[in-house]
Amino acid sequence: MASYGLLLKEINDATISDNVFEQNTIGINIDGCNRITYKNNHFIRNGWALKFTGGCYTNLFEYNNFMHNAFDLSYNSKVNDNLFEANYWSEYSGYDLNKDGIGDVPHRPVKLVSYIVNQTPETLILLRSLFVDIINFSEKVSPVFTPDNLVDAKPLMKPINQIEE
Amino acid sequence: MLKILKYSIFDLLRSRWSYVYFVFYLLISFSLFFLNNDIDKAIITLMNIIIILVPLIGTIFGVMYYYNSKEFTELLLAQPIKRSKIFMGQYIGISLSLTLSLVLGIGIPFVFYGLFKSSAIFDFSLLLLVGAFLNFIFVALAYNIAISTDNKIKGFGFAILMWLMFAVVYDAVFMIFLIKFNEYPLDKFTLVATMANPIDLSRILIMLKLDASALLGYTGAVMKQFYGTYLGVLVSMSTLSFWILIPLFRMRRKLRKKDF
Amino acid sequence: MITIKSLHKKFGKLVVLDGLDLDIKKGGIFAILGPNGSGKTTLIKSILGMVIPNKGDIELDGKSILKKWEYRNNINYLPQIANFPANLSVSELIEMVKNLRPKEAKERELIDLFGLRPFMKKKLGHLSGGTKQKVNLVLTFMFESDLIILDEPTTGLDPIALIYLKELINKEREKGKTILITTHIMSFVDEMADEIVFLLDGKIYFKGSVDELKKQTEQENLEHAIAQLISKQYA
Repeated sequence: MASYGLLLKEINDATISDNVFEQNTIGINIDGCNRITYKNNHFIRNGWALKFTGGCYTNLFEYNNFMHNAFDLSYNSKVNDNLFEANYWSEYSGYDLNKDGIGDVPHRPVKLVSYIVNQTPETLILLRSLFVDIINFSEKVSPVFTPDNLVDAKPLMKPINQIEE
Repeated sequence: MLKILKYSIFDLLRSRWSYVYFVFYLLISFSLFFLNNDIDKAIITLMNIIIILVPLIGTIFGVMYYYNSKEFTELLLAQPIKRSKIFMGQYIGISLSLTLSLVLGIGIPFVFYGLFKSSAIFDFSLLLLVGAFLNFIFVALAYNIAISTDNKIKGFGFAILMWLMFAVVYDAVFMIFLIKFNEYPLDKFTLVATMANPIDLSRILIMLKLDASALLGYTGAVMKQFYGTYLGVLVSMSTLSFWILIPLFRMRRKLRKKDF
Repeated sequence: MITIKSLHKKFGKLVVLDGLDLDIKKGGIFAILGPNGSGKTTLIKSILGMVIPNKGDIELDGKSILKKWEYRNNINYLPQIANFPANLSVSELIEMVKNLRPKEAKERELIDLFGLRPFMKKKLGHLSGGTKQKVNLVLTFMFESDLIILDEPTTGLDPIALIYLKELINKEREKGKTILITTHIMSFVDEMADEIVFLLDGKIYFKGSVDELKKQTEQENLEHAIAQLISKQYA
């Protein structure tokens, strides 16, 4: 429990796996990092699980748990070529009709409000209000500010290997 | 007053709507607690429901009860009782029965889930306390509106508008203001602005428990510093109480001059 | 019994009572008549403290009743519309009203008189309009009070219940009670009333016995006499 879990600046070609980031203001702050694989990490009850601040390219996020973070992801650019696949998102509200453990609807982890909060930190106080939910929802339905392809196309229905607490 | 209270509770507890409301909470909480077994998520979802739905239902119920019992109220007014006691009795009756639906509807599943095993008991009690406050606040506001106009449709319209103001419009204006005056120090303004809306205040009280980490980083620190202390809790609880007392005070004044 | 001094009441811009003076002595049946909107209900509700007058005073037995509530223990009131909490049963409602008054009630005989016994356990929401009106009557007559105010008491009653109602009213008169009645049924007035109080434009236009009214208007029939009083408003 701290302000930052991990600060990454200009790190390339690495793997970050099997960590628990719990109750940090920012789980991992990622600044100009490329080709990193994040795997089997648990982000639990953080303010921001992941915060991208510089240009980051071709990073891969798979099989991570994002649970009850105020924001799972904050993103600063309109282009994205990072890949999110097969993570568990506690906020995911889709369904799994064919019962293969993978949600049938892609998940958009970036909320519109995280942009507003980046610009004006004070607006954080409006988190979880109906108004914020409404603008988040409208962004989800028709994305204007968030990169179109910033989605997890195969969100998991159940968390990965539950950690012992 | 107690006699009026007793019978309005009697009447309300047998009303179909009390049960619909109770069963609604029961089903929601049972499915939240047992279908995914994730207490944090359950409490977050419950918070969202409570903060929006409790004020809405309280408002609608309050206005509806006032207009529906109008003729009976006239009969009571001809009895040797003080006016204010009749309306206070009814007001407390509605608020209590709604709170009962809420507390039982959410409480029973939680007890089944394992009240004492869970560390979420504190968050959970806070949730119920805030829910009860919101019930009492919004029924009082609704009664104020209903007493101020004899036109039923107008009354309903105003009541819904009032809810919309507190639940959505207030926050929209608040956000625009914050973005617009970005360069100025806004800590104190933010603090006051959250106090001035009971829904926002309730939300923040719960949020400080749930999203403490997110709040710590930024302006949140100020919030946490204030709301996290005993003084902060004391101030916010008394602010919520004022949100009950001021409408009631106005109601009593209105009643002194009202014709039935 | 009742003394009303220059009573004024406005609803918005509409003047309903305009300096009304009225003196009603103890005992007898007083019919309060007048065209629609003449202020009958406002007058009654002012006496009950439900409408708060702008000016003037109302005294009951020499004491002003404005801003007081205890005096209502000595008034029985039958409201115009009988609408009760839908989820209470008849007996619960009667218990409740009894509870509100610190005095004896004789509801048993009234329940039998109006044949309400089979309805006692029924919820008020399930009763017909006429049955509700009978419950309303029980609630009104079960207490001994010096002043009885009836607002349109005949609404929705079947002929037998109507006969019982008249008997009840007459019995109360014999006991020396003061009874105020508003109604639109002239035969009822003709049969029952000792005195007529006729309201027009927020003032007392006529006060006196039925015979005096007939004599003054030179009409044989009460209905026509009243019609003539009202027609003067249009003249």
